Amino acid sequence: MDIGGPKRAYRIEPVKDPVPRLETQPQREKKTGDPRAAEKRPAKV
Amino acid sequence: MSFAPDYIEPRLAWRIWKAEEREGFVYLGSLFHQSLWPVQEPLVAQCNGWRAPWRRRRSQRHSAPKWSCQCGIYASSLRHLDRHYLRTRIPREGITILGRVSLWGEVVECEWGWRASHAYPERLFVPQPPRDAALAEWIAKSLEGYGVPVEIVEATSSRALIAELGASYALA
Repeated sequence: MDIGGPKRAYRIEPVKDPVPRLETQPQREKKTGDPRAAEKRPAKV
Repeated sequence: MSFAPDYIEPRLAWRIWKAEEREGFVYLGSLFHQSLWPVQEPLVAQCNGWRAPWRRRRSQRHSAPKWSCQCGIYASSLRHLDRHYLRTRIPREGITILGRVSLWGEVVECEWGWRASHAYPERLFVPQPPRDAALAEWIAKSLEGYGVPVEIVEATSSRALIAELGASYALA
């Protein structure tokens, strides 16, 4: 990606964490190894 | 000794990924590198330029982004994506995901975008071509694992998607 030359530099330390910390990851953990997930999945991404 | 940051709010900017499937789940994949954006962890930039054999003599290992290098996690304005990027550089195959990202840490502001040391998606938009509603829904559902809002937008291409979003986000 061409975004041109640098103009200035700075440091950002967010007060609030930009990464949401979910207690669980139901979509990604419970489906692993579950053959039903593959059945529901469309053929190609 | 510690230094006060220049800002305390992340910089919001836009970028595009390809939808990458791994073991039944969809991840955000870089268009230019073999890398996936991690789930519920920030993506942390590292410069691999020093590894290139033809650059070893001139380049030393350094943290990213470095002012004089081209390293860092890239993002730009929605307007720049529309005007200069989408017209020529989007892969023909696969589904591309558009999203707004939070950038923080060390940030180099450039003419049309930013290079940052840390990034994470802030919201994601999945284009839904008329004939692939099921595929778009499946991708959107899987991307919810990132823990950010995921929206399906009826659009036949990434350019159409940006045009659709332009009204809401003022191409900022």
